[in-house]
Amino acid sequence: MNREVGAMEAFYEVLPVVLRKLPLVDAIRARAVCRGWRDCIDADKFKFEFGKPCSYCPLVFKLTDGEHTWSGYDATTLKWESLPSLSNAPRNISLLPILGSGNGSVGFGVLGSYSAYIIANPYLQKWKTLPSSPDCWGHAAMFMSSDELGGFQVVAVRNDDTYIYESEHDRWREVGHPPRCVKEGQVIPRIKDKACVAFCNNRLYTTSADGDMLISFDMRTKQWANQRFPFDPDVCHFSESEKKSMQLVECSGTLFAVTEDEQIGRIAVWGIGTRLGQLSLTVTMPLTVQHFLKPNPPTPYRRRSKPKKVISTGHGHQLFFWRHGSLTIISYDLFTHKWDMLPDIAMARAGEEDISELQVKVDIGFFEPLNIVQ
Amino acid sequence: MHFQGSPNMAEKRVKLISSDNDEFEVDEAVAFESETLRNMIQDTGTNVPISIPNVSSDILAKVLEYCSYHAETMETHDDKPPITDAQIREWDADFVDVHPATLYSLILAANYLNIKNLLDLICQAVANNIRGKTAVEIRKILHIQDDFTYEEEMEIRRETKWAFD
Repeated sequence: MNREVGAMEAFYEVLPVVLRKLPLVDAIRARAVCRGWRDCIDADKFKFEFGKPCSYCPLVFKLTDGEHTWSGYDATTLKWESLPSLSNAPRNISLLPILGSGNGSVGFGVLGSYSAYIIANPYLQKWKTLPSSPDCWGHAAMFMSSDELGGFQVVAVRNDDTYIYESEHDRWREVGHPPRCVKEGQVIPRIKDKACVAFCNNRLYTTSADGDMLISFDMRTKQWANQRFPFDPDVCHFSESEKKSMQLVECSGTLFAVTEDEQIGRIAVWGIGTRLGQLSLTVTMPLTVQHFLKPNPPTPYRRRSKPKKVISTGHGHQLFFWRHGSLTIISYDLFTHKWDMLPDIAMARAGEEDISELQVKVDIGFFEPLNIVQ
Repeated sequence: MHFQGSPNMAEKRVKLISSDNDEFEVDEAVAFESETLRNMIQDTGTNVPISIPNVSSDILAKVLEYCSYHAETMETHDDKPPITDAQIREWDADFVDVHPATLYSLILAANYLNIKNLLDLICQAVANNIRGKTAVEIRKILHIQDDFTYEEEMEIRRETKWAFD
């Protein structure tokens, strides 16, 4: 008996090491195991790894200089960090939106070319131009994801077909037809602009423009699926405008929807859950926080305009929100339930005046340099 | 030719005694994978058998299997290609592919013997075992008593409903 108690005590000594290795959603579920586990997780909440260390999200790109200056927000140091220049790219790259990233690499489109893409490792200054596909596919919606072994895949979605590029084989192959609602052309511009797209548990997710359908592409089986959202009016009091404004965000292996109702001024986050069951309200942005997302006051050169759409992304255990064209970014921590404002983005060089939001754009992507640098 | 380049070390053997009185004899380099054993050997030398009262023979055998392999990966042979990181990862993955109860005992042993890499490997394996499981399933796997009141459990679920849907 005493030996068992001793073993239990010893296990509690190493428990934080085990729990810190869990993704956010599992750590939160593990709080419901017993009091000891709950207290262990709560006491340790700021030390959780929740994915890979040393990563940056959101990213900001300075568009007006040839240096392709970019920075990323590091949620562990609470600072913006300058990232290595992209100016040595062998082709003229189109900075935004980024194609995707992972394992130290980041993907960009090539300016003035429909089907040319470059994957960069900015720290090693290595550039890889993806081979051309057998077909010249013209406009395609592209999305890049990486796997745990350091390889990456790029999905190219066209009206009638889908191609996938796998770094392991270094070639494109056709993997089937997108569902009908993709063919209607609603989804392609959304993936292309990264307007409503999230990558979660090896699936690429987006929604139909009316917000009724959840559309996914499974990277493992290479299959498309679409399903009607299980909107239960008793649980989700969605207005039509909220449904249409829906954006998908991935955060620690869980899919979330962010909606905005401009009329009643509500910005809300909904958990879609791992089994894609009922949507549940996770949090509503308090009005005092929303206030910071208001556009800048009108100047003699700029008239007051309608507030631009809220853009959101998720990384680590935080969700980030900003308005199109603005550099004020709000964060929400899913674990500590705290709202915060990110520090100012300092990208001006010596002698330059402060940068304006016209010169700098925020991207929903992330960048993880560590694995490759090691 | 042996661990840390000292030719004499290869000849040194260490005797270890498990909680159920089984005796193991290993190279000093293998025992040195454990910080705890390293300290003990540095204090008392290799002549005295070292008793490990809270690790049973089956678990100690498993731990020494890990230490032997990892001590070997440090060696260089002219006639053999070096063991690659990918091979080590594959070996480690096979090593932790055991029953959860064995993992649990291995965690305690690795913690007591202070073998950082082994502890990290097993903690990751236990975390992987827990991933995607409900609280009820985790309690069952690790034989944990549910000590929450109904209200406390509901409060946890209400706070972060998205994680439980």
